[in-house]
Amino acid sequence: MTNLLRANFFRMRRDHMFWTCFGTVLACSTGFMIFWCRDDIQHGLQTKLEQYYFNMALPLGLFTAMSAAMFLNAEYSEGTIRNKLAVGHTRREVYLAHFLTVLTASLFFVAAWLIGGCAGIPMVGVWECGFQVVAFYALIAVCFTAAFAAIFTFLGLLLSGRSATVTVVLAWFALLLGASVIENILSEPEFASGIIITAEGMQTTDLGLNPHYVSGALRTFYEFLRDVIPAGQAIQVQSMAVLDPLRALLCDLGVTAIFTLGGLAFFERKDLK
Amino acid sequence: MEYILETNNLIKHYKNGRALNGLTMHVEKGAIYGFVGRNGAGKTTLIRLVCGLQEPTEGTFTLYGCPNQSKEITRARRRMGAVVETPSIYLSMTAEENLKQQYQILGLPSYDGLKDLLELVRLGNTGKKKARDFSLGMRQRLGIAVALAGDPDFLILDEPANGLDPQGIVEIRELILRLNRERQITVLISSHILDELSRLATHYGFVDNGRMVKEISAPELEASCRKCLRLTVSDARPLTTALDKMGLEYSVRSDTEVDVYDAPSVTELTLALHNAGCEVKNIHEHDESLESYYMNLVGGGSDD
Repeated sequence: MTNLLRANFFRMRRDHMFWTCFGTVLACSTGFMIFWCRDDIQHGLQTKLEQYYFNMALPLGLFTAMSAAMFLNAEYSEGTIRNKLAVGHTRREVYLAHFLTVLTASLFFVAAWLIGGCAGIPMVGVWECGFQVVAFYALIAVCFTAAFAAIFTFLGLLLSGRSATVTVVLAWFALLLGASVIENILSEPEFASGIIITAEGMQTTDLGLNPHYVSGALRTFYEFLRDVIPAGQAIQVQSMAVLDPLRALLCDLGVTAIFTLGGLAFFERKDLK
Repeated sequence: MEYILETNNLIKHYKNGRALNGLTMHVEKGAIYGFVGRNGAGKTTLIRLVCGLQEPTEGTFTLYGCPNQSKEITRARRRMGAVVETPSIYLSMTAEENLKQQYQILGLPSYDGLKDLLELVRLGNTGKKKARDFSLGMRQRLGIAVALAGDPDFLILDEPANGLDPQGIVEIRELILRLNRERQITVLISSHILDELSRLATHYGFVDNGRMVKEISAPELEASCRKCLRLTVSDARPLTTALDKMGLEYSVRSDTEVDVYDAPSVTELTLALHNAGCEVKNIHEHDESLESYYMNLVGGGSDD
């Protein structure tokens, strides 16, 4: 598998999509951080670096999806996956090598985001929350990125043809949409006061139980689901509000393992052309 | 007889039917094996199975004597190179980069021999030109170079002349012959361009509807296809006696039919037969090409 990995990295170094995504993440992370910090300073606001540092967590999955989709699709559209199997590499080796390559590319994007975010340091100083907290959120980012990489490798290698590229990118949107819906449900306050508009103006009603608030086992289920979906974790990291870090990490591990093992099982049986 | 590839009753089912229907074939070491069949006959399916792209539904094959169910088959595949359907190359890379990529896949310690390989397929001067800007013939030759990167002794080429212009076809033919003669590489070529195949192959396998219809060596085929006089007589024995006396080469097709290969004197022959009491019912010149041989073998049904 080392040979396959070396060959994949050789190709990744020449892959335009990888460098485009890497450059975009780095430029966005740097540019937005400078823009936000300067804006806050101009308005006389007290700004902390961590306030914006994790904002790129959300779109990170999109870059992973685009890069993975293009990289994996070339194997089928240009038929080069045949060169690997025809010279005796096992399907397991081929699958794992691709997963590790996609993961490595994704980690480069995480690095680009984290390095780019440091552009705010000369303006607002270092993280007030402490380096350990930053490292902890970075670790979760690495883990949910691994889960994204596993999902996109699964889709990219099991679906051949041009539709695979679109499907991988759409999968990211679907995950983001699902996570956003769950996040909305969970962010409903337990108690809420209504506003009544009368002829005499607006009146606030007494604080009452919010009918949209989800509690009990259903809330636990939604919270679990939010952690299972990598995009859900991205939302939590973005707002630096990971409720159960251990569960989040275990979910990432679980998703990565399930999609990789499932992908291996399906890929072993897939008829390739 | 040492066989590089042997298949035994291979069956491959797809959702829409059977692609292979009990195919048995034998590729002898050192041969250029022409795998002939119409579109959909099962040629590419067999190649996919041998390359490990798909698994047979039933039946087995051996590669260098190694059964396909054995784990050692992956090791056997390292001695083989293949171009299946279209050349498997990265279009965004140069010829040299494509070969470097394959060298890494194979785990070769250095890029030694890479330039020679490019020269062998006449792509030594392509420089920084990307494969997407290559002609079809250049891509085909690069595909072959990629397949040759591991220095294989068995090369599988699936329709290598497809879509090539006459110049490209000649170049590929010369390359295959060189590889076979100079490097002793056994070659399996699938094709339905019979005229082209007849200039290359030392052995033929005719496949139809996923079954092997006939395996035959080139000399045997040549003998079957040789220009001859086909005589239909009342009894073949006096005829063979007369032919022996005249020192002519012949083959007996039946009790009443004989093919005579050398150019006999028809007058002399008919006189000899008349004296022997043998009646000549029919004489006609028989000339069979590979194409007509194939058509006789598999029938003239339409492509599926």
